[in-house]
Amino acid sequence: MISFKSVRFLSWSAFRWLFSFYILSLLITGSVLRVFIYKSINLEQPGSRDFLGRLDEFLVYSFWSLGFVAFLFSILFAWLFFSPLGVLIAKAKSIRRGSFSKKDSAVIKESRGEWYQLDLALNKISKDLKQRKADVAKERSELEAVITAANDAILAVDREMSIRYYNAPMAHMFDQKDEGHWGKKLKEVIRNQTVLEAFSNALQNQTPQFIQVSQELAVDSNVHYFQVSVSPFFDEKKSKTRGAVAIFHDITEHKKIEKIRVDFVANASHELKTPLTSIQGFLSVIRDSCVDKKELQESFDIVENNLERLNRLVVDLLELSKIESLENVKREDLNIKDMTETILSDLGQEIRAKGHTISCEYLIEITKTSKELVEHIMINLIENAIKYCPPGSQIKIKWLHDHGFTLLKVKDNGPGIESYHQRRIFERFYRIREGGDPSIGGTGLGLSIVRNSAQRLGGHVDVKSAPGLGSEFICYLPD
Amino acid sequence: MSNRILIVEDEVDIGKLLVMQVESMGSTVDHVKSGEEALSLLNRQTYDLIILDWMLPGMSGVEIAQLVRRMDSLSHMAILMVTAKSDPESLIQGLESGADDFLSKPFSVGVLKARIGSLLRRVSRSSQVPHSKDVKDPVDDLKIGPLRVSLKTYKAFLDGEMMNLTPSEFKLLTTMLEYRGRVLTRAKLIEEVQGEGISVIGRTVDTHVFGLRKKLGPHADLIETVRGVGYRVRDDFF
Repeated sequence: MISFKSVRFLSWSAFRWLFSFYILSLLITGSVLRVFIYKSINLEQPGSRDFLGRLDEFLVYSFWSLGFVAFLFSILFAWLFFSPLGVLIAKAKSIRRGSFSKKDSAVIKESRGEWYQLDLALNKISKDLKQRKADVAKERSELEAVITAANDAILAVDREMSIRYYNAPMAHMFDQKDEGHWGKKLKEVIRNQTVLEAFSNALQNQTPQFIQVSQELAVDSNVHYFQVSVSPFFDEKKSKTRGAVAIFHDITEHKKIEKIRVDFVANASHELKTPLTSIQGFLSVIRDSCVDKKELQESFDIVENNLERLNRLVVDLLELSKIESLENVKREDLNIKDMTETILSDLGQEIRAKGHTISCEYLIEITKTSKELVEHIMINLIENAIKYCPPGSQIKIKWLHDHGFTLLKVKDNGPGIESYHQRRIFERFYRIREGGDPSIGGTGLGLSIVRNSAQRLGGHVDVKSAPGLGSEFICYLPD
Repeated sequence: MSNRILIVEDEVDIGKLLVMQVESMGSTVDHVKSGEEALSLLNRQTYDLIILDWMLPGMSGVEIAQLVRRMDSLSHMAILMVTAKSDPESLIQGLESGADDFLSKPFSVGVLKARIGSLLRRVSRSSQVPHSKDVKDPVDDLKIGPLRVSLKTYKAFLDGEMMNLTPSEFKLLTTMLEYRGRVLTRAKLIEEVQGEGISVIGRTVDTHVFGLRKKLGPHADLIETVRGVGYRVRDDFF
């Protein structure tokens, strides 16, 4: 099926080639013929020169007439054989414009051999192109839906820090109304120095940046807190940064809840301890007035021990919830040896009382971490070793650095822990009771405090132990 | 000699408990429930000791301690802070505001009495030598229990035997004896010990205390550790 347009199509390049070929053939044939006849005629014979003059005349006439025929043939052939090319060109053009539809898929008859093959190939290309276009459009609309629906503000810039994209929540963060900030320089729109620095750091160092900023929003004129991550994105070869994307996560609500929690911990601490103080105080008053009643003394001892236990529980529970609600983990350079020795000196009385030997090994001097949390970890681990080991045991403390982690090892040669307990000892209130000495005053929270402290520092804690072979607690704290 | 003690505590029950215990020790007691009332009483009456609750309605215990420490007329009065707080930072803050010692709630009555007794002894000691800080210390020899310290010859004797102390340890020992019955934060201890030829930086103070304790042998418990805060120098020991 050749459309009307194709009838008028004439391939000029085909015509030029054909015509040149015909003319050249005519010239060569004419010349060869002339040389041959000249050679075969005796010029001495009268009338021969006349004949040759007429022959030349004949050759010129026939050249012109045959040339004309060649011209007509060239046009005919160029039209006849190359007219499908016009259709295919038209088709390729319409594919490029994207206006080609499936309805007129086959434009060339099958009988036209290679042209038909070409047509099929074009159809295939057209189909693939359409599919890919649809895929891209689908992906794009999905992505856009996700970005628009996200509560987080999203902003992308190019290498020159010009804004390439932002979503609706991001528009709220800008001072002015949402009026096309596309293409503007980032610093014209965002004035927060910390944010700008994070962007330029991400672009220069090619590493993601994480910061926390507060900003007053025009929407409700309240100060909001944001956790911002700025990540660079790269070109195809992954060698050059093409720009950076920032996600602003609003953590204002989260902060509010944290504040309530911290306040609660402080209040609970006061509220729980006040009645405990009264009970404990007046109990001793009663006790003092009953000195002569021997049979009551045991009861007093029991009540007092339980009060003491309740008190330790309150302290440990509050400690635990304080660690969990710790707002920011402050990291500072910490002299490990100094801190360890101070803690050991603080625990000196308990260590001396049980006659333990403690040895320390420091393979690192300083680490950047939170003093408060590391102290919780150390005190609880060392206290446990002191408490659960028989008198005169050996406790080894070792600090080292390995594969991006600061490691604290507390090892003892005490009774060890059965493997089925090992998984659970970090749970709250999990205690190994069987065969244990009930006079050891644990709350069952010490190792929870250790685990939570380690987790707040992004690390974890592990135990290696076997009955009779001692225990080793290893705390992994990432740099 | 009867001591006069002021108790500032807003919790009724704990107030009663404190009053009962202090009275049982033979002291005269006044009990108020707020810092403002305490200050007005302090203007009219002299006390040997004030027992202060940290968390009070209105002025906090720390604010009162700071105010009291600024008044010259009250410089001999001891301050015992009673608090529900137990974290080292808060305790250090309390001590730095001017408290001589602290007691974490819930406390045992025995410990309460021991602390009160210890602080009262310190007060009576310093009132016997009224201006010991201004006048050049007239005492050359300190004799406390089995311990004798000669400030002239820089020698210390334990049970009659000379102790082999380093200059830092000797300074540490005399400082601790001077402060017995109170809590010394690490920072305060460093500040006091620091001087000619003695340089104690940061946590090295613990190393010195460790050394001193070793040399005190069976009397090592003279220096009591207050976890995360510093040291309490016992005075009932001798």
